[in-house]
Amino acid sequence: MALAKNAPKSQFMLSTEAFNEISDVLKELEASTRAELAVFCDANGVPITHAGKPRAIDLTSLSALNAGNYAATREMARLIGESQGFKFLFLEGENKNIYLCNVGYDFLLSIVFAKTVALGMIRIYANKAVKQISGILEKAQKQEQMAEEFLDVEFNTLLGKAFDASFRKPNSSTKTES
Amino acid sequence: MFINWAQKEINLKIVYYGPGLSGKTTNLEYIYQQIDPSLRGELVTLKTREERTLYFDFLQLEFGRIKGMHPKFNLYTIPGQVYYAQSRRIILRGVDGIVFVADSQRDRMIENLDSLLDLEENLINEGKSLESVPWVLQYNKRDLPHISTVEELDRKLNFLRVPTIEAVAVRGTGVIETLKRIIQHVMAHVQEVM
Ligand SMILES: Nc1nc2c(ncn2[C@@H]2O[C@H](COP(=O)(O)OP(=O)(O)OP(=O)(O)O)[C@@H](O)[C@H]2O)c(=O)[nH]1
Ligand SMILES: [Mg+2]
Repeated sequence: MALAKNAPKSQFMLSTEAFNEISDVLKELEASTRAELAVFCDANGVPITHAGKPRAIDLTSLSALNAGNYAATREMARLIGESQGFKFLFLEGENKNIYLCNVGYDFLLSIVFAKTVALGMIRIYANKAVKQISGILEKAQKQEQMAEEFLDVEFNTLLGKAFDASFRKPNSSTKTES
Repeated sequence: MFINWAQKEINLKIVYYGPGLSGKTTNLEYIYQQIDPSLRGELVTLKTREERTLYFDFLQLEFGRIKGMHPKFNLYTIPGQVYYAQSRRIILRGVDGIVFVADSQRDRMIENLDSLLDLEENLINEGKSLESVPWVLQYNKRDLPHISTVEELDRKLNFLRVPTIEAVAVRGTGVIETLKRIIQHVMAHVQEVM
């Protein structure tokens, strides 16, 4: 999948509608390939939605590592003059495999599947899912919601309180203000 | 920042930057130990056999539901060793706030400065800069002898007059305070740019 030319955005919002549509694409992908798990995350490693049985799999850590891994191989591609990056990453294990590819510039799709599932099939259905998700994201960008309505001073005050309540003991420290 | 409306999640990325051995990983380890376990994920660390960060450390924190939304903070540390330049660039991608962990020891001043310049360069690569991204300065290792005074550190490193916190990360002193400051700073910035 070629990388989009545009630079990474610093803010991105995903509508509920787009979220549901992407979740449906993942469900279909998982059902047609009988993969164990399909995870859609952003390129910074934030898991967004998934289909399948994560069971004992820690999706937050998996997504952070997927993102790091993907970014590292993209740099490797650059070093060997492969400016478009690799089409996908395939990690082969004793019992389970992982397939990882990008969705445009800002997102990643990763699929965990058993050794009995053919890589070729995963590739075909992953390509199809990437196209569908790209379409959904394109459409979603035109109808972004507003976040100002809740991200206000009150939000920050409440967050500060929640923060203070989250740590074991109040920590004393010297502080300098410049 | 990434907002997932369906899950009512706001995701923010905070990166701990600074020269090798300044105490970035130690900050994350202390946060991991001190926060209510139900509010954090696993501490993911990718390190060399010598306990140096090889690629990154990662820890996700949540603070429950606020005005119907779940703010999540994704904390990363970078590898400070000079030759991991590529990893640092990768981890800075999409950053919302930075904690610069400086080593207060007098003979580490050059390394602090080099790392700060490296940060600025990498931010520019991302279309950002030290002036546009919220950041705070942690003066770590205040427990050691032969350290620079806070005034000296301010003069050499804090030319943009960002908030500073004195710390002894191995004992946890100043660590939570630093985290609180950067979160406040990031949230205020988010509001400004909205
Ligand atoms: N005396 C003292 N030692 C500290 C302090 N903070 C960290 N250290 C020690 O400094 C060493 C390096 O700390 P790390 O947290 O691994 O440093 P780092 O910044 O993650 O280093 P890299 O991963 O190589 O970039 C460890 O032995 C820590 O115990 C401090 O406040 N005082
Ligand atoms: Mg480290």
